[in-house]
Amino acid sequence: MSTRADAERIELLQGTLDLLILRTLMPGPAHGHAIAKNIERNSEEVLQVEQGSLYPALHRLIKRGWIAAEEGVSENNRRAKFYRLTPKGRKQLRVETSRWEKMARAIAGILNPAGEEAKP
Amino acid sequence: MKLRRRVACDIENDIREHIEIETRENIGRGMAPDEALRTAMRRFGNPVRIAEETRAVWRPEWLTRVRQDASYAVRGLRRNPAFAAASILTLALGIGMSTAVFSVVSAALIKPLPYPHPDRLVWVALNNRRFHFEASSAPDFADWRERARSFEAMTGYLDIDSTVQDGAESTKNAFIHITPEFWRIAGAHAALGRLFAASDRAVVVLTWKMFQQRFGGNPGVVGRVVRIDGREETIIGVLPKDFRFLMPIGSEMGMPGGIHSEAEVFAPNIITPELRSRSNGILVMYAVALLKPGVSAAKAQAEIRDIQTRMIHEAPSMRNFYAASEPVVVSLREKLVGASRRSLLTLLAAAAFVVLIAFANFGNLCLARATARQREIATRIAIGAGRGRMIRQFMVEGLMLAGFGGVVGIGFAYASDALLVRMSAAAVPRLAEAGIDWRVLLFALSVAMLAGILFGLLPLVSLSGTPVYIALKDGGNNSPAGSARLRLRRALVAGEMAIALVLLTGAGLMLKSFARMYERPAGFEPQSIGTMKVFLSGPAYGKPESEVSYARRALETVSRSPGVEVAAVTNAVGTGAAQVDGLTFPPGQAPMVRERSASSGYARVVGLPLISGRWMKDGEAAPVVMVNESFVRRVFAGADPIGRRLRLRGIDGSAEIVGVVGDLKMLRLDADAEPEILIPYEHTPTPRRVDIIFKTPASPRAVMSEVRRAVVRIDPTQPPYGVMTLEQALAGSIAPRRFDLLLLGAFAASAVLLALIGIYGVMSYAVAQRTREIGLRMAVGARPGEILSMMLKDAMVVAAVGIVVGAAAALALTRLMAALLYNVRPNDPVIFAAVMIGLAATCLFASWIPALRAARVEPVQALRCE
Repeated sequence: MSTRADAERIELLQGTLDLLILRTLMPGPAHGHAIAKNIERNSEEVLQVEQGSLYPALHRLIKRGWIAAEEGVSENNRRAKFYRLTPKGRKQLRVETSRWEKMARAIAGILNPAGEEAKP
Repeated sequence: MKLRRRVACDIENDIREHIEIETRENIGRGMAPDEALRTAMRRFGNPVRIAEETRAVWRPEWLTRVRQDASYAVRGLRRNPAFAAASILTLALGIGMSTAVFSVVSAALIKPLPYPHPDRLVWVALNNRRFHFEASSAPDFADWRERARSFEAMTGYLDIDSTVQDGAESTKNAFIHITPEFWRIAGAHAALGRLFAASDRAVVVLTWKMFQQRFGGNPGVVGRVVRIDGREETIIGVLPKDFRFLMPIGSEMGMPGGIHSEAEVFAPNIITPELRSRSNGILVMYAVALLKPGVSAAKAQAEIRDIQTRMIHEAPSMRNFYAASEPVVVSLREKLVGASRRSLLTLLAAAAFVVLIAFANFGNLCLARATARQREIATRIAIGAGRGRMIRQFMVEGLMLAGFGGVVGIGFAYASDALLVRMSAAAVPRLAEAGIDWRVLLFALSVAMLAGILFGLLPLVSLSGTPVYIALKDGGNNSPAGSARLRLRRALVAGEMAIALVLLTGAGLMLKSFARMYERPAGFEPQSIGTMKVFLSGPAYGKPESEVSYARRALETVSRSPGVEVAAVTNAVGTGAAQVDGLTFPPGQAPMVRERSASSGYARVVGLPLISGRWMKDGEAAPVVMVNESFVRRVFAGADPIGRRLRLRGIDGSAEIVGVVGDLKMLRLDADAEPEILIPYEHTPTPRRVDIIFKTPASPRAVMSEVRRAVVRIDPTQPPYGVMTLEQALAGSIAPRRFDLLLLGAFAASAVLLALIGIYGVMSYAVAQRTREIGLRMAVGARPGEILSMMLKDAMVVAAVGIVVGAAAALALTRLMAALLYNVRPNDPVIFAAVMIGLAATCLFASWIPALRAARVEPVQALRCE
């Protein structure tokens, strides 16, 4: 499985994948394949998901009540499940996003030359 | 929640859909179709694993972990199928045997009687000390039913074989004459027609089985008139298939006459004024009653006693009888199964011993396996598996083995239940009802769980002290834990030996009892004696002359039948106090003696030896009698009885004793011979029954049907029944003991087998563990013979400890089974010695092979290994 292209990709941490799914569903319901594609596209193909691992994550989110699944018809014209954000999930997304941003800032602060941006 | 489950279900469809879309996109990017699919699959990952992971999301946490452990355990067991098979079989044997016995015990002692108020049903009777029987009678029953206030209802019944003639066909069937209160007490309703009421006369009700077998299940029989013992009676109803008649009957209580098979026909038991009067003797009857709610059996018994005390004054003719009688009111269940409780509990205890041995063997196997897995376990601990995790792992593995063992064991129990019922349904009360019900399943499950948890965890005990690095270093062979385990295994095997010895002793004592029971005088050959009974019924009989004339014709007919060497007619007339001219006994102290009518051929058929005096002949002018040796001992204290005169019921004047014959057990094998008088059949007022016996040099089976046909021709309305060899009849008398011996023998055999497997396993292990030491000894000059004897000594120490402990335990325990033995003392030294020596010898044999292996060790190889 490990090709040279894979080496440049970043393995996703589990919590991160949850956040990305929630973010992807913000605009509206989507089916599994669309979610996977969306995550890959928006991260410019750097954040790489083994597409299948999306499904346990989706079910975890359903179990927690953050997203819900409903029957629909895919562009393939087949029966498919569409996932949408629940109000609870929307709230969770806000919490997670702000936490993520805080952490990203903190990491960026450590990696970048100390103090330069902090001192106006 | 419903939606959620559907979400989880559909995962395969979602995955398929996903891969299809991806494939199409890949084709759109210009890939060939098959390459497009391959790429899509690669991008997706393993669909099976992902589906499983997704489903796992929905499973509770603990279940996930147990599944992990279980799949780990399955993999482990699959790697070691010999261990798995040995464990499962060992456990199945233990669980199966104990479950089978438990199901029998449960049916007899635990399962409530199949009637509406089983706890309030009681047996009401008078226990007569002199006649050694416990029964009621027509007048007593009628008095109790009228006067006693303790009972909601009371029913009186008696059992008797009667002829059922329907068209040309006559059969002898088992009748219960019972008062109609019974239907209410038993909660019975008719499946067809109706049941009889107090006003019904000349009617019968059939059991389902009788209805099917005799009348082909034709509903038209309801309303049909048949001839019962020559009288016209109407079939008015059929009982449902699941109805059971469980009341005690005469033959089960050692009363002469009565039915010897399941009840087939019910008829109203009508207590006529003649039957109520006590002036002409009393008709034996049995009584079962339903206590009023809140009334105890003891209180009811006190009330019956009051009634009986008054009766002594009201019926002076019965004074002696009543004075020797004690009222009994006990729970019906107790009456039915009380006598076999001890034997059932003994069997249950024996089964528990087998379970213990099986458990010990299972523990042994687990220990051996733990040794083999020492390094694996140490590795897992070294990389951070916690103690709790290891315990869980062992427990899951143990429970899994126990579970499989339990399932196989239940199957085994099911099969043996069927076998037991087929072989000896009469041996244990309610055995036919034994089966696998929830109680039995619960029992099997508990036993299995216990085995799994307790012995599955045993290896941990010895594991706990071992430093990990030692275990890792040498795989545990010389580690402290290794020898701790060996000690533990030796202790287990010694325990197995001890238990096996207890079981063997029990079985040995039973076997010796059996040998004692079958001891018989030379000349008595029950296997070549055919027997059949005729019960003379109908208006043509009932007078002594007609019965004697039937007996004479039967005797002539059978004597002439081809293949018959000698024939006789005989009958057990009754039991009474000995009355000898010139002898007086203190009141109530006269020995009770059996009276038997017999033709002259009787002695030759059964092979009785003449001790003194002369044989009695057919056609003696005056009634002369013979007595047996027991009679001489008990009545005459051994003095010569020839020429003395006896008084007998129904014979005017007295009868002279002309001869003495040897003792013989004709009725039951497990009772000593009783004092008996032989009376010429022509002079005996027979109670309608004629037993025909004949001896044949060929097999009685070959000539039996011809003899039967000849007897039928004498009077087609009097069909003979109970056609069998005397051997079969006698075997039936000890069916319960045979049942006990059979099971105990099976237990002992499996116990010994398991114990031998145990000692073989431990010895093999010890040899493997000491290979290096043995090699070293041989390198410095030990000879193979010395090694052999060293290893054997090792094994025999374990065996000796087990045998000594077992013998002590057996000495204490076999006393409890004294009641099951016959003419054998529970500490019979021959049996004890035989069992101890036998077990030691088989142990020696079992350890020979591993010891021989030790003696053949190549020193160089042994030292080089590891």
